[in-house]
Amino acid sequence: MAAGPYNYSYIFKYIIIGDMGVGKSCLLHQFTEKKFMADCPHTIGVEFGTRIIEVSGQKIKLQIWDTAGQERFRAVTRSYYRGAAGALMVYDITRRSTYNHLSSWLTDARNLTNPNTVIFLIGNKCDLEAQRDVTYEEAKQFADENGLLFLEASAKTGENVEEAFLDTARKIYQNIQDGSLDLNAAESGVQHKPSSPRGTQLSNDQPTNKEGCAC
Amino acid sequence: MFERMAFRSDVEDTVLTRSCSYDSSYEMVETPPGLTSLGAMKEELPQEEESPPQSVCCQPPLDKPTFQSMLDPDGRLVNEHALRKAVFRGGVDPTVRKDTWQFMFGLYPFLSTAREREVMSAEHHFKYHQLKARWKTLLTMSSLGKTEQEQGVSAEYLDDDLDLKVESFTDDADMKVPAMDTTNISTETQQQLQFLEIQAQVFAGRQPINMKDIRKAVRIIDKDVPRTDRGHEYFKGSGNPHLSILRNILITFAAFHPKVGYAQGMNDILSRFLVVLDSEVAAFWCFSSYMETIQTDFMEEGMLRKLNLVRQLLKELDTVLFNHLENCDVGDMTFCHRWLLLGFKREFPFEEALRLFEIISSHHMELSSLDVERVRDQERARDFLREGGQNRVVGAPLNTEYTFELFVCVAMLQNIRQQLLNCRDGTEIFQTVSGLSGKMDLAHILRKAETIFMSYCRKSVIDCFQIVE
Repeated sequence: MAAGPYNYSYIFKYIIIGDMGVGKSCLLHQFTEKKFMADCPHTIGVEFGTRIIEVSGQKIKLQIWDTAGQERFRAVTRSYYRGAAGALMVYDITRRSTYNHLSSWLTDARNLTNPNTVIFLIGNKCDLEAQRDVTYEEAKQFADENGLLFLEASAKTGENVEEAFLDTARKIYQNIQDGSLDLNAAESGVQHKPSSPRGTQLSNDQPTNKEGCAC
Repeated sequence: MFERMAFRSDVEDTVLTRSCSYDSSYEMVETPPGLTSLGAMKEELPQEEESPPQSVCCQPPLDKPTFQSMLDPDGRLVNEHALRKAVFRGGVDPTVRKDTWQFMFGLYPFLSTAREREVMSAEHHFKYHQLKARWKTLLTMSSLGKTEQEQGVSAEYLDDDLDLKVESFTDDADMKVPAMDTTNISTETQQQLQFLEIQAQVFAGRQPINMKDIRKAVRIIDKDVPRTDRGHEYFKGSGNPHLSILRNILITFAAFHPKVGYAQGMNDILSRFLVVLDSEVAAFWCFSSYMETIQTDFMEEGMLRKLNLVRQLLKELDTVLFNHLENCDVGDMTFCHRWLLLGFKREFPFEEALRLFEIISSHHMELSSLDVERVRDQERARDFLREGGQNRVVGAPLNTEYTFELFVCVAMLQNIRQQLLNCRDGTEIFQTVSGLSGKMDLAHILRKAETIFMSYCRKSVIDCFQIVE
């Protein structure tokens, strides 16, 4: 991980939140590895994944923070909401309780991120149509009322997984383009990385080890 | 909750007791060259008088003959310290792991005789099954007419991707307590057993229980059980009966420990006990006893406690690395949360993690142990002769909250120190750290942790010496 030219122009920070067992880690794994991980062990605290995507000809690195779903782990996960440009809020279409908890997740997301954070609602496990417990229409209405983007997806089949992650990035990029997202704001969740090696970097991108080693 | 049980009081101290006799081998431990982070300490220690590096840890595991030689004719394990020390040195050979864990994790007191253990074993059996029967009965009663799966009394773990012809395992959801094998025992003993069973029934009936809590726990447990160590031989395959046992134990624990209930990660801890002990009853009691000592780690208010300790310890031992993590905005050490919560389970292959877990759980090397006191005494004496009243900087005194596992954390971080220092931001640090899983040499990490631990003891001595002056 030597310092050097970046092969992407932006970094967007995402968080994935939602009840335990809704498939947050599996969505992340499907998106970064294009594979479904059956029997994926539950996440403790926060875990991390990354992938470079392209939006409007710009290479964007997504840094995705995957969080533990059980409520008591919020003590650890809460600090990772800060400075997220995108929040993927996941429920399981086969378990109504995970849908009913969305308002509490949304409150957390709204309180702990900035007003420009793009929140994307994902109804996961849409491959399990026979066990459906939450209708598409109902969730769509919830999303519309709260100004959220929404898709049903399946981490297992991969359906709509790309779309959810990419649509979030497109929306963030659009917010940058129309000026509603201020890149210089401390917690925008977006970093601009000029691709040229000699380009100016944001101060906090300087390899900090230099001063460290001199001590 | 269980503290109220009569036999628990005997057991408790076995878990908490620290080592209690002297051991001169610590003198040999020395800071190896190249530990830059300890440079500051090393400067204060005259190098020429130090003995060559020799590690206490990473010896051959405790084997069966050695373990058996520790038992007296009545089956008492008289020298608890010797056992803990042996476990710390090299872990336990799989052939004798079960026996060792039964003592180490409080199933039986070290000083119990083999005969006393037979009675306790019967007691454990009845009490556990009565507790289990209690929540199962309650779940049944509260939703009559539904199937057992709907009631939450039992669960099936069929893998829908696998051939459905695989024989489905149906849990013994029977509310009756399974009888013990009484073929070879006298009438007198049989009466004794009956008495124990009634006692257990009364005991289980007296425990407060809350249906709402149980239902909540069952929901979470049912999400976690099917994803517990499915790659391990013991839990592999569709309809594996061990998963139902895992579930039973987790619910029983959660039902009677309402304060901590069930938290994700407990399944990972329990699976180890089940694999090693291969007994539902023994695994329940060892797991409960272990959980009672660390349950605050699983509660919201205690979740950050150990992370803060790692933070403090790293700050004391390696300011440069600490500052770098702070600058990268990951000074909260969240990236080692999983290490500590699960006892490094996902950081090493199962077997190795098991060894590390027993080594840490031996509590042989802790700052509160007398062995450490001895090292400090020696250091004080040496220091006095050597430096005789010279002025030095006063540092922080020894903090006994720094348990050995925290030193293992610091060792793991220092092991990739340069890589971490090369990271440009917190995400790179997270990536580097999560890339460690399965790639570390346990023996190397242990030696390193031990070295750092001993250096910390010496440093604190030097610091304290100054305060006394």
